[in-house]
Amino acid sequence: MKTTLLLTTATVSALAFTPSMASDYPDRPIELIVPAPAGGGTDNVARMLNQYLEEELGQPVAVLNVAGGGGAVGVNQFSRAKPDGYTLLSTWNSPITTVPHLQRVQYSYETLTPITSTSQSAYTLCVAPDFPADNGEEFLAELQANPGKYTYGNDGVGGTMRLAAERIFEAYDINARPIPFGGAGETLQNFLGGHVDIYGGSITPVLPYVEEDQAKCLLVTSADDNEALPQASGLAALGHPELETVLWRMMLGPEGMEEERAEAVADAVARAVEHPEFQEFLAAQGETLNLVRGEELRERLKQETQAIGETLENLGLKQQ
Amino acid sequence: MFESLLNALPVALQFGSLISLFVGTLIGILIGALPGLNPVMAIALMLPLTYGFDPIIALGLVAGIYNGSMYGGAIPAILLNIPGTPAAIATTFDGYPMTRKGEGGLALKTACWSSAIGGIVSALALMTLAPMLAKVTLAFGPAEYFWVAVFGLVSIAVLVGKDVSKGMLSALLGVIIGLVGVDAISGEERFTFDSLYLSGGFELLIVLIGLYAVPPVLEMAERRNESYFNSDSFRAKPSGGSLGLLRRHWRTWSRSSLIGVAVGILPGAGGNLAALLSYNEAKRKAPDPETFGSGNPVGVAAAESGNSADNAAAMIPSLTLGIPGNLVAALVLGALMIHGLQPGPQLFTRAPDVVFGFMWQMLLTAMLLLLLGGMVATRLFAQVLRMPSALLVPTTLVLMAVGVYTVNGNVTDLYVMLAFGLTGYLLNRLGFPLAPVVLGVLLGPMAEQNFRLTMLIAQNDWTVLFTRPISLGIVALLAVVLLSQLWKTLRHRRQSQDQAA
Amino acid sequence: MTRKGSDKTMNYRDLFSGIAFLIIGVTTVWMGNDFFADAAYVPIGVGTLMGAFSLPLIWRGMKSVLTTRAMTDSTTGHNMTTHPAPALVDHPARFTTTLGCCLVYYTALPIVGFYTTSALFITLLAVLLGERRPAVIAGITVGFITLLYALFAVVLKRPLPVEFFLAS
Repeated sequence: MKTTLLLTTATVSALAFTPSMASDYPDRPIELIVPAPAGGGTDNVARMLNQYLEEELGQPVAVLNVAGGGGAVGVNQFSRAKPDGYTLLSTWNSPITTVPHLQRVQYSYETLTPITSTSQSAYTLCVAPDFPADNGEEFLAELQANPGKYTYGNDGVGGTMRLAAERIFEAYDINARPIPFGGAGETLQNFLGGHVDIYGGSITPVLPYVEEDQAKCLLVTSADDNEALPQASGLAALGHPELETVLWRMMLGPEGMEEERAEAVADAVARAVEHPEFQEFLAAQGETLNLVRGEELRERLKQETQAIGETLENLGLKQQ
Repeated sequence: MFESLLNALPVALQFGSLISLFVGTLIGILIGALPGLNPVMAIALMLPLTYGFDPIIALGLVAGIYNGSMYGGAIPAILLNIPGTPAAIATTFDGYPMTRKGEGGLALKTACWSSAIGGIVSALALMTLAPMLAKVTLAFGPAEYFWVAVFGLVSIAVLVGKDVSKGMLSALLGVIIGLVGVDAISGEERFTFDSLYLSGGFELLIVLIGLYAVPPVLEMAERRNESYFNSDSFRAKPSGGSLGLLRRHWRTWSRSSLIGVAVGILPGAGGNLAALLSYNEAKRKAPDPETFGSGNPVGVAAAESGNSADNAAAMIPSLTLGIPGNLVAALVLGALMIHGLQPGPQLFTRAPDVVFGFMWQMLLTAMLLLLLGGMVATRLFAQVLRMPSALLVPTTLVLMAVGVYTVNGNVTDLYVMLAFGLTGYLLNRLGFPLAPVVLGVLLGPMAEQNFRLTMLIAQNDWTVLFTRPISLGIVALLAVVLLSQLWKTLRHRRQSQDQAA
Repeated sequence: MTRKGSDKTMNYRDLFSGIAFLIIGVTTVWMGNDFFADAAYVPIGVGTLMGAFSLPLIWRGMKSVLTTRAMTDSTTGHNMTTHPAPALVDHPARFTTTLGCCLVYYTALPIVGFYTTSALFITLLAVLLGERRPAVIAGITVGFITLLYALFAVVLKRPLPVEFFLAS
């Protein structure tokens, strides 16, 4: 099956070099910008989805990783691309809803063309086994009782993880010291080595250590509890479902992309996520499907951008 | 553990695995040899094609591309002064002067053997010591990383050359280049002059290609009807053949391989640091340090065995801890996850055939390098230099353009490369050494970030830099290196004074 | 250029590059002062060090410029022991031609497309640099471009600027 797939893509790409009418979009290879380095969570999911997307679109889709600036570098570059539907963006929420508050960027949720969201997952906060707390409530109480004592690793100033944590800490009047690392891997390394007290990051990397009893995860940043982490409390269980901040992924087009083409891509994504292999993969990553498209997606981006703007302002982090 | 290691050998030796190793190594050499194309990109492209197969086939491809590209990067570094991958930067220091002297063939052969040896040592370390070394990885916090970076920076003292102030100025310029962009800790923009391009910082590969590869191309273009290279470049045969190489370099190889493994187990510190540290150590230990930089094969041997020894070792934290040591390791983890294997401490017991099979593959592909590297590279790529220089100049420029363009798909990068090229050209002509610039770009930000993280964690308590045992160890090592260097210089000076008297 | 003359230029160069680095150093400190707390440590430190290390260079350059001048004024025929400095640019015409072609190449690349522009660039620069055998130029250009096409378009599928006659 793989070989036939290869052969088809090869013939299709050969045919693609004959110019044809615009209506049969896509008629040549598509470039997909991922504003994160190869091998990270965003990249893994994008590439996995991409396999099935190529099949549905009938054209090769080349992934281009443009990392840096918390995703801003890649999205800036993307926002200057021709809106012909041959350059698409596969991103997570932070570069769109958080980074514009902190850095100068050339885009906003208003300018980019929303296509569809794909999946989402929560962040988690974990501590060493000897930490004096065994559930979300005790954890927050311990932090409350010891202002400035504990350090928590996170994925950087503009990172959504830090915001997710700060929103909760703010509501509970907690003062924990954020230590910005380059990503979940680095945070995990420093947490396991005992250099920081609390792991803050995505769920997948820390899972094996929960099984080995080398870490206990006490909080997830989604409203619901997470099946993979039975010890962790969701925010609804703590009585604060409104503090939910999750990591979610989406596909966007440049400003002014034709609606017809955006629809075509959204349809292809909707079909691609139906592949059981993709769904298995998502489950293993602790992610759930979540398809919101078009203007509804823009509305979601708008609300999140405003909520995060407020949090940042309260934290005194927002750029004037 | 050794039982599972032996059980996995037949897995690595099955037909499909061998084919994927062979193909992977070939692709790797090619990818490494083309500036801008890196193993990460190649592996990311190839992996989806293997999802339908046994994981060991996918991993064989990864191992091949990974080790192959580390040697491949040395080819343009030696022939054209273009570091094919950032890790090949130290290979240019002596490799390119060797080519110009007419010893390009010897340089390529030395690089090939050194890569293979480094890769083999590294794979053996991965096979036998992985769980133990993983503990070391965890013991390194920001304070220790800071000292590692300082250790590298201090070796500027070795690279600096005769004119101390010029060398220091070069290094400081490098640090400033490295500081440009959004600061990862405070989120503040530094030296960006309100430019969106600069806020992303400079891409290391673009800086390196600009500084190192553009000046020789310009110089080549300026010469008319003169051969830029010594004509009988590839006739020179290493005396005593491969055994001679072995005899001459075994000390350098073992020292550099150890350095490479040590750097490899630290996630985030890459092959370029391993190569630079190895190069410095080789130069410091050599009886003739002044010949380094003007075509000493020991320099090539040190750099190449150092960066290749980083390879398999960088897999140690990924396989044992689930913490990717570099981008290739991150892709390997991704590939394992796609096959339903959760990276982390349980991996060794849950899928021993895959993990240990992959280790064998890392070893096998390092050996394959000797066969393929010698055959493909020396015969094929060496033909490049036969081109008339009026054509070599534009084709090299196109190669650099496509290489730099594919990094980010951004045309602005090309102008930036050219600007760094002119800077490099000017610095060269004004007598400023370029090697310290590279060290500054690479290690300046690493030292800064980790220093500030240390201070954040310790709430500005300076003493933590000296009270932690590993930190203290590195500081002691640092003192020994500095004092011995000082002692050498003083003795040297006294001797020359005596002779004068 | 005489030996003595070129030596003098090197001293001038030391003087001027020293001043250039002093300016960069001072600017770095000046900009670094505006940075927030710990983001400022290293910029200020590096800028200060750069200023400090540029001073000996300036001093050395100035001293030898002055002595050379004094010597040329008083006597002739002094043997200089230092090496002559290499010219800043050996062959200005070929240097600027190459640079100019590069700039045109980079500008045209996104508009005209990668393969077309590259082929034209190789041909043009080869001719300008003095290659006069049409067969050699055509052969190498076509061979090289085919190789790149095979690698980037067919094997790796890396997106490169699209040719103008294919863009929609």
